[in-house]
Amino acid sequence: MIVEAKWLLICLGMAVVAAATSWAQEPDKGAKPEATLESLKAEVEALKATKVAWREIAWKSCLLDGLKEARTKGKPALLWIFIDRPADDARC
Amino acid sequence: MPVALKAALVNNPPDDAEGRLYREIGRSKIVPQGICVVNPAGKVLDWVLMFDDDKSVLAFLDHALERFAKYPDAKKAVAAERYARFPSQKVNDVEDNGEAPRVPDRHPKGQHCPAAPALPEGTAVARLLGRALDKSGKPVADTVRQEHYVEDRFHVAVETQRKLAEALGDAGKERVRLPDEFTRELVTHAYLGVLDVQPLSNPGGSQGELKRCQFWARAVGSGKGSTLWRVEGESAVYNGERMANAGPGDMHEVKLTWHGFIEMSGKRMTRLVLSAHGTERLRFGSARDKDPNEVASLPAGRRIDLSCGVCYGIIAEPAAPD
Repeated sequence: MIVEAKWLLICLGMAVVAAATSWAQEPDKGAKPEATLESLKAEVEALKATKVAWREIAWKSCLLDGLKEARTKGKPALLWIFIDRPADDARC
Repeated sequence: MPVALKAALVNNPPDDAEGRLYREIGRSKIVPQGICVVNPAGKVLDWVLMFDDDKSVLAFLDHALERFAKYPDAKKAVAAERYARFPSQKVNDVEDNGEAPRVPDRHPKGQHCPAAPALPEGTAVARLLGRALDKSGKPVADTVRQEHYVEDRFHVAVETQRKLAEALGDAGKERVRLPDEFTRELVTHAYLGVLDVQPLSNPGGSQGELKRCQFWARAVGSGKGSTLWRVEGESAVYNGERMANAGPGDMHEVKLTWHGFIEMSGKRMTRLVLSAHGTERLRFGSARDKDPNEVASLPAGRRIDLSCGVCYGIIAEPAAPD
């Protein structure tokens, strides 16, 4: 009984080693070629959504510019006074 | 004419002609932030913080236009109307003080706009993009909500770049661990959602937990005085109910695996491109009811319940010459 159990363990061990070796040597068909700086940059830039509603609003960040253009166009200025972040960094 | 102003300038205006304009606008504010309509003379027509519903937003704009037609300049005294919520919650008006600050056409020669101060020479400007992923691993189509799509910006200071250069200078042919001061900067900005849910260095004062932040670099090429380094890293950050405006059950956790490149020239970082993939869990405003009427509770944010795959990208380069 002990011998049988030992034999079973040895067989099981060999099967595991064989499977592991096979996994290690099998080429990863889904693997991408290693990225270059340029290819990775293109990948990152592709994350940017091309047309988002909030980017359609031409926010100014300078009060003087805003009032000057309001005067020129004969319109009021709508001021969004919020957290101290640059107007174009989009996180709020 | 849409103008986004930093609250600090309205609440602590500089002591000059432009500052007097900011002071006049801030004189009638309800709280240190909000939406304000002014005529070109800088006289406030209306303040508003929230709206009864979506239709009220357009009604407010129409209302402000009517006020502008009556008070297009500083010739006639105008009281600032104020709404905690338009139109149902009006608070008392603030009377005109009879002063009309001069509106300069431009900033004095040699002086920067206070809204866009000059960056120290050599500062690198980093732009970050972040996307929530759907179950198939593709970016979620919605790009309006910041828990689905985010663009952010941050600066890598000259001193931080110097420390990075020092660490890389010790590398030889072996891989080298990047300094925490630099990598924390990257990890801090890689999150979805509004500013209030920033896991590290939260605006509410909590530092958050930096559970893991290990980045390594190995030189992979050089030329024309610069060296290219391949970067790999892992990060895990967490914050809980100590986030600004957070309540019971709120939490934010981001776990990412990073790879990319840094190009260094002497003590300066000339290019940085990084990509990160991982998972993110964000619960904010958990104790609140799901309320589709979001314009009725603008200042404290809204309920967010997110748990998904995410990806981020960062591209940095030296700031353009002034």
